[in-house]
Amino acid sequence: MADPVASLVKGTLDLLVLRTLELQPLHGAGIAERIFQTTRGTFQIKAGSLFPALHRLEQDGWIEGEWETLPKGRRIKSYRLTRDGRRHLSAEKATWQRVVIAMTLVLDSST
Amino acid sequence: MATRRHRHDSRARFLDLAVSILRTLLARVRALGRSVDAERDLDDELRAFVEARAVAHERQGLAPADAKRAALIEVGGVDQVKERVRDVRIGSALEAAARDVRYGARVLWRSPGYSLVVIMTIALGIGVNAATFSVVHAVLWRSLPYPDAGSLVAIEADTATLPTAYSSSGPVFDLRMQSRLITSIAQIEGRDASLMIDGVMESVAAVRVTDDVLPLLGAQSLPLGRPVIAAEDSRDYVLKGVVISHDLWVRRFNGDAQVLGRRLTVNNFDVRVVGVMRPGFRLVLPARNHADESIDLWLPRDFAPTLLYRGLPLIGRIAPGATVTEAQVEVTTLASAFVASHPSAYPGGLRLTVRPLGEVVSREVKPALMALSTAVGFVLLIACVNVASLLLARAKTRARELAVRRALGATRLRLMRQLLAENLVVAILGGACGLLLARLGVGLLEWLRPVHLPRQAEIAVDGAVVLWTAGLTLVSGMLFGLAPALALTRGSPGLTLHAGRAGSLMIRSRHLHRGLVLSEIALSIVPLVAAGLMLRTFGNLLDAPLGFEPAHVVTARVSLNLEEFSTVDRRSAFYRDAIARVRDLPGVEAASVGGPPPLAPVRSTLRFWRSDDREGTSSLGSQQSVMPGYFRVMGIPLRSGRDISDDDILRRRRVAIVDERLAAQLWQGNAIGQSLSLEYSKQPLEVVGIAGYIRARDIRDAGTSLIYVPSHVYEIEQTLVVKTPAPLSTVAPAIKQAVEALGPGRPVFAIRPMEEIVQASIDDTRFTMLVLSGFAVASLVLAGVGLYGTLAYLTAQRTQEFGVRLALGATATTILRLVIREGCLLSGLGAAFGLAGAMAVTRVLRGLLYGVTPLDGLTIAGVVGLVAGVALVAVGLPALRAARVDPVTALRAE
Repeated sequence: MADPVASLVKGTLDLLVLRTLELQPLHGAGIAERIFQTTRGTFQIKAGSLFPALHRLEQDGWIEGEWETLPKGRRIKSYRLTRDGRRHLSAEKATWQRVVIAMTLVLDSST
Repeated sequence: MATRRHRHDSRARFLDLAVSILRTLLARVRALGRSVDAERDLDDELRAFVEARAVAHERQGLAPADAKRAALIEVGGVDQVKERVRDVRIGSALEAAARDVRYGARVLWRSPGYSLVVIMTIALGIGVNAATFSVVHAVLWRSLPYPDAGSLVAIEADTATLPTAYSSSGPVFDLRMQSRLITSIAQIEGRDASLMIDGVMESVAAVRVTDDVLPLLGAQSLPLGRPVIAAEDSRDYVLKGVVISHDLWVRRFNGDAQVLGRRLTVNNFDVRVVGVMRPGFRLVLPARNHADESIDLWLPRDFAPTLLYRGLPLIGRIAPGATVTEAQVEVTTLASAFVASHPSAYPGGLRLTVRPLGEVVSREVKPALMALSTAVGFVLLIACVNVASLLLARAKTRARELAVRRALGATRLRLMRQLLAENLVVAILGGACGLLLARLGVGLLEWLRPVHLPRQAEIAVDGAVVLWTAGLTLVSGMLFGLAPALALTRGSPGLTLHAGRAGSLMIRSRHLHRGLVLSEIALSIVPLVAAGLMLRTFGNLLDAPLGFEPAHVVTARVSLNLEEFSTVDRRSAFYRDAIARVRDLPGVEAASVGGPPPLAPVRSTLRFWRSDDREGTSSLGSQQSVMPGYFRVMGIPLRSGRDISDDDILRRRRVAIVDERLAAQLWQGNAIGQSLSLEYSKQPLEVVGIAGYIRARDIRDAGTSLIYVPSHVYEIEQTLVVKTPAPLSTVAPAIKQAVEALGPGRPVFAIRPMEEIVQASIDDTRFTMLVLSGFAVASLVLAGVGLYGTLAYLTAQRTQEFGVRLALGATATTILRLVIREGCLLSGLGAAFGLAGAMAVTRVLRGLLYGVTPLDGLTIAGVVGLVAGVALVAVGLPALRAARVDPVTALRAE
């Protein structure tokens, strides 16, 4: 897979981000890193995909950004899942699992 | 002036505000992705990302500089990333809006019947409002079509008693000489003129203007020639020069540039054309100036040094920077100074009032327009209530859909936004149709042509109307959309799904439905009462005791050439001949001459007093010139004494017949043989008869006493009055031919039945009555449809309940009673609220009513009866249906 993210099913990136934030609030780089680690390097999310996705999710109200000021005076924005986002995630998870089961059934049906 | 300017300012401010809001909205959409704060945030966010990545690379062993570069490469163009984020921001806002609107349109498309009803309802509500606004905007609000119109004023005078007929110099002159704040004062008086060009006669609208008028109205320079100047164009009350309208110039002179100096005949005077007016120039003046808006002839007029104020309003311009209040103070001071220096002229004092000209122009029609605006407001409210209850009724189907979406994670805000967008689609479609309706309405207005409505030519559905309609559309969209949207999205998402048929929602919305039914009835009562009161007023005016018999009376104006008939005796002889000729026509029962006839548009007022009572008070009355037989033709009873005789005319006796009101006022009824003094007349008159009182000025009875004098005492343009049962089509040419055959210089024109003149005098009331009735019918239909729809829906909702009741032994009658009782309770309560509202609102109408009070029992009873009838049908039909329910089917319905 040349660029796994590019060929991701539409909405998968959203699901990845939401799931990542379900565990703990993170900032942009943290999210990318966590996804990279969790998927053992399968998904390496580029900034050009990540930030538009984050802003879209924020506008949809699934996640919420919060600015923190670091000791050095730098500001950093971390995101956390909202209640609506949590609800949305569980709905999406269920859908995803149905899709996975269905896909597995189809792909394994030759045997 | 101050208040007017203020209102003007606040209107301008409102427009500015609207424009700035629009501009902000546009800018907001454009800047959505690049507001300063958002840009800084985005920078910080990306910088943090790059730093974090650099740290990660360092941890893997890269040198700090390499790590930073690697991180930047990894990000791949910070600007591209930013651009994509911005796109998301703009995109999601626009996309959400577009999605909502698209979804809304699809929902509407799916149920075209419902959509049509809703859109037409809104269109009707918006349409009548937009049409009324077009009128109000053009007539009441828009500034007059003259340069610096805000500084134009009307100066009106009220005098107390005035026993001295002449004064050495008029207060007008004094004002002109002494006022500092009023920079120019002018006088205009409208009149008809008979115009003859190359032997072709026509009657045209004319005005007599003082030299100041045209400069005052910004028309000092004309396309051809110059304005009229009293000193040059009029000598010893003989007309010499006139300005003609552009229209007349094109119509009668084919736009000939050599028209200056051309000779024409105006009111039998030989005059020359001195100028041609600007095309399209309109004269917008207070009704009391009696001037048409489009004028064909401009005649000169001089301020006579002996001029007394006779109720003709002056117009003027206040100095730049001065306010009306300041001008008023100054004028009041000047008036009292004038009275002090001329104690004999105004013993009771003189009060001059300065008002903005625009305000005075629309003063007479303002109450009617306010009443109409209020009525259309109610129509719109009813329309909104109707649509709101329709939307709620659809909740049954929508509630499930919304509950599912809610359960899938849509936020309440998201759903509300979507519902509002749906309603906005409805509102905008309705508003657009409403604008079309308003166009039709304005067209209808042209057709109705209410005579007393000023500035009709300016009424149009223009930019301001469209802007206002757009605003109104948005507001009403919110109004009818908000309540259902709130009701539909309330509650926890699970609840509605559980309830299966959305039961909990239904119970909540039932109360809302009942409230809507109630307010619908209440709202419809107000326009109905208003229209009822106007109907009663109109009926009362038709039945009002005029004091004369207009039936079978034909009037015809006669204009005499003063060169041909140069002496009083020759004129009197002509009138006698004309009467004799007309009386001999077949079908004519009686004929006479008098002027001005009752209810004529112009009737001047003058003071009169007992000649033997120099100390006593004078009263205001009106003079009426008559020839023998006038009373018989007009059907005015002669209470005592005698008619004017031919002998009176031949011997030029100074005799008078007074009406019974005047006789009672001055002589306790014993007026015969007494002597009466009139303003502008040196010798007293001997009273020879007492006539019945007639309503000469206005059917509403202005209380004007009439003094009838022979035509040689009061010389004025005369009118032939002819009593004949023959139809106008045969009698009119006969009269014209009979009189004109006597020789040239005696044109007969404007031949009209007296009944038509009576009708025309109440045209404004008829207009208000018709339009208000139209609005009332619209609101009744809307309320009736809404009532039926809502009650039918509410009853259908209870099908299951009725099934249970029937199964448990209730009879059809019980069910019927149950439903009807609820309907009646709601209607009764609504009617009570409505009547309370009507009592508060119909006070606006007070000035328009005649012979009925705003609390007229008959009207209220009629309206309540009408609404009760409509409510009974609306309640009864669903009730009958409910009573016929089969219990088994009903129970199975769930």
